[in-house]
Amino acid sequence: MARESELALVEAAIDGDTDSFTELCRRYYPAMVAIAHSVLGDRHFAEDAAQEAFAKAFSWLSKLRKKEKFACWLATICRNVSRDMLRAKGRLSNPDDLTKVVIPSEDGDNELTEAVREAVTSLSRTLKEVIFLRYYDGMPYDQISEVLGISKTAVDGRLRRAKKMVVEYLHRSGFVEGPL
Amino acid sequence: MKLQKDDKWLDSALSRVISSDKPQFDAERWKEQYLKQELSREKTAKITPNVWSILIKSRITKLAAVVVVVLAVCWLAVSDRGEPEQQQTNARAVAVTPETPAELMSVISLSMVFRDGDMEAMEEQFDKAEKLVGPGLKERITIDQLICELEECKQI
Repeated sequence: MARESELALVEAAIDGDTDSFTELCRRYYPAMVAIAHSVLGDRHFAEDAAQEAFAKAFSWLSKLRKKEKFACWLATICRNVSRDMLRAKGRLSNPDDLTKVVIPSEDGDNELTEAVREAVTSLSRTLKEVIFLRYYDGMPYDQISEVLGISKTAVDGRLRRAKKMVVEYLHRSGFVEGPL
Repeated sequence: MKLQKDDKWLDSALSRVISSDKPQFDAERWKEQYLKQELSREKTAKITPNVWSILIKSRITKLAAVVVVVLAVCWLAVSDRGEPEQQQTNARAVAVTPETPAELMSVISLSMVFRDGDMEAMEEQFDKAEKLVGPGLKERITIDQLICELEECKQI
C-alpha cells in the first residue's frame, strides 16, 4: 500500500506536482540527512546537502527511469551532492578518501564513546553509511534496504560487519578484553 | 571492559555517538531557498549551452581527439613512405593476374606493364598473349589480326 502510494507520488511529481514531491521529501529527509552526515561529518551541512539534493532531484525527475527505485536514486544524488560540498570546502584533496572525515565529539563524552566515535570514523563509506542510517533515527531494515537499493539480508550483513570492525577497533585500543 | 556476547552495549554506544533529534523537513524554506535557485540555474544553463566547454571538459572527447591525431599522423607517414612500392606491387599484380588474352592486352594491363618494366616487359606480355591465343599463331601477326583473334576469344 505504502509502495503504491509512493509510486503515485513519484508519478505525480514527474508530472510537475510540487506538493507530491514535497511529501516524498518529507518521507526521505531523515534518511538523506543521515547519508549526508556520514559523508560530511556535520549535521548542519548534512541538512543543507539533503535539501540541495532534493532540489536537484526535482529538476532531474524526467531522467528517472525506474520509478520504484526513487529512494535509491535520491540517495545517489544526495551522496554526490555531499561529496561535491566536501570537495568545495577543501577539507580533502582526494574526494574518495572520505574515511578521513571526523565525526565531531561532544562535551561529556566518556572515553569509550570517544573510541566508538573514532572507530565509526575509520569505517569504509558503505559501512559508515549503513551505521548512520540504522542509528540516526532507528530506521527499520526495510527502509534502509529501499534507500540503499540492497536486500534486507545485505543490510544485516553490512551492519554486522560494521559492528565487528568497531569491536575490533575497540579491542585494539584496549577498551574491550577477551577473544573476539 | 569485558566483551559481552550480546551487543546491546555496542548498540547503545553507537546510538550515543550517532543519534540526534529527528530532522524535520521545512518545505516552505526548501522551496524558497533551494528549489527556486536550482530551477533558475537550470534555466540559465538551457539558454546558454556552451558546447565547446562541454567538449573540452569531456575526457572521452579529449581521448578521441588524441586518437584521431595519432591515426592521421600514422596514415600520413605510411602513405608517404610506401606509395612507390605499393604502385609497383599493383603493377606486378596486374601483370600476373590477367588470364585471358583480352585481359592481357587490355590498355590497363599494358600500361601497367610498361610502367613496371618498360618495352621488354611489354614484349613479354605480348608473347604471353600469343601463347594463350593458340598454337596456330606461330608466325608474326599484325595488330588487326591480333585484335580479331582477341575478339573471337572474347565471344567464346
